[in-house]
Amino acid sequence: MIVPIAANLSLEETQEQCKLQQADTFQLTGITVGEKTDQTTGQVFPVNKCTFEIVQEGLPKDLLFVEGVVDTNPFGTKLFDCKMFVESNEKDVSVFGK
Amino acid sequence: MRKAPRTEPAISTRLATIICLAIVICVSAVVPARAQKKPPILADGEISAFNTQDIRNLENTASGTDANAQIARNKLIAIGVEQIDAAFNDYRKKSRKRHDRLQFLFDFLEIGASSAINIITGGERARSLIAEGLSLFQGSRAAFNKDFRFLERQILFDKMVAKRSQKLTEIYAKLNDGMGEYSWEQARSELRSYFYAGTIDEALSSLSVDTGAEAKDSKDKLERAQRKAGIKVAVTKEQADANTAASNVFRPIITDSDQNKSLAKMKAIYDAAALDPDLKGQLNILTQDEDLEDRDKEAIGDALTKIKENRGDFAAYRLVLGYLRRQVINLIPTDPRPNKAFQEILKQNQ
Repeated sequence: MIVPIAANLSLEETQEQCKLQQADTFQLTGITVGEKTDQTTGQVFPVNKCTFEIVQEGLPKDLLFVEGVVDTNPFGTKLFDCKMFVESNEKDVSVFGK
Repeated sequence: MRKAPRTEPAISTRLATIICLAIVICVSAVVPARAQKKPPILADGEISAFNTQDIRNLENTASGTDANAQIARNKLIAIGVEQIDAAFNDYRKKSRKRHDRLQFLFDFLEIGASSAINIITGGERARSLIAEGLSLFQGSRAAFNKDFRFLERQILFDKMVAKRSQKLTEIYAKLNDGMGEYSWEQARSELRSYFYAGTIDEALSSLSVDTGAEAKDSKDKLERAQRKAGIKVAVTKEQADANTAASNVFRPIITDSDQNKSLAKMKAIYDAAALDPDLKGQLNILTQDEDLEDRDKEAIGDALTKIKENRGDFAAYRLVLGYLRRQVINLIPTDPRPNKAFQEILKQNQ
């Protein structure tokens, strides 16, 4: 599942939206920058394309987004690094899970 | 005793000073634009708008409740408007004159100092001092313009005129109201608001409110357009609450070691959802979600087939209910009914 999340959101807002999309069933596995077009108007919006995979056993990991490339965080284990939109600017972000 | 010879810098400085004075005299000699002479009927102090005794008499009459009181109230309103307009126009005229004089003085000093640097020959120390003085003056002028909003004067006055006009229209709309509906005291309070509408503080506050409202309006428009395009925006409070409530039910089920119990609960939730008119519709369009890839749609299709053929396992129910939960919570900002139905079912199966 690839969920487009608005590029103008803050880091925390994007994090909360990803947590909601996990719905105790899916795990966030990656984020890339991209675009989404409104098919009726043709308007193009910058978005963060967030990829989720089905969790077969147990619960998905809770998420923490940290700006910059960070190796460790007391919150949990690093899931992945990515380049994503934060308030419409492209930034390096490390995603941790527990 | 011989006089000390005049040095080059002293001569140049004197020449610069003479030129500056000549310019000031020429400019001062130009007759400034004068305001129009006021016609006698509008002469302050002579007319009823500024006659204290007349106003007191009218206030006494306006304390009644009959038609005469209403006429007196309306006259007082007209007098109040005239006085406030006179005060505002006087303030605006003085502000314009002060602004124009100060701007000319600032410009003159700046040009004068720049020219003086070039006129003075030799005397590096003198030129350096004038240059430093010019930098100080230019920095101070920029700070003055910013802190006293000097250059925004016209914008502020335009806002004052607009607010005054709005307030006056509201007052005039009530002139036909009886004394029971619109007393002189009420009218006087509104005249006070009319007066404040013509002040700098009120204009600044109004500009701030308008700017804030415009920014919010733009943000709301963008969000609507993004939602329409299928883009997820900031989580609303309702969505966050719904997600928390759903987690409170699903997490214990998912983590329960008794798999038969977990399966029974998931089955009960699914069966209730399949019977609910709002949720049945959502289940039918589960695979139409734009965010799903082909393998997601395939997985949902397989799970639904298993469930319909009465061989659904825990994984199948979990998958379908997970997509359904996500779908109804995503829908809350535009249609909260499916989530409301879903939350009811979860409460019953807690």
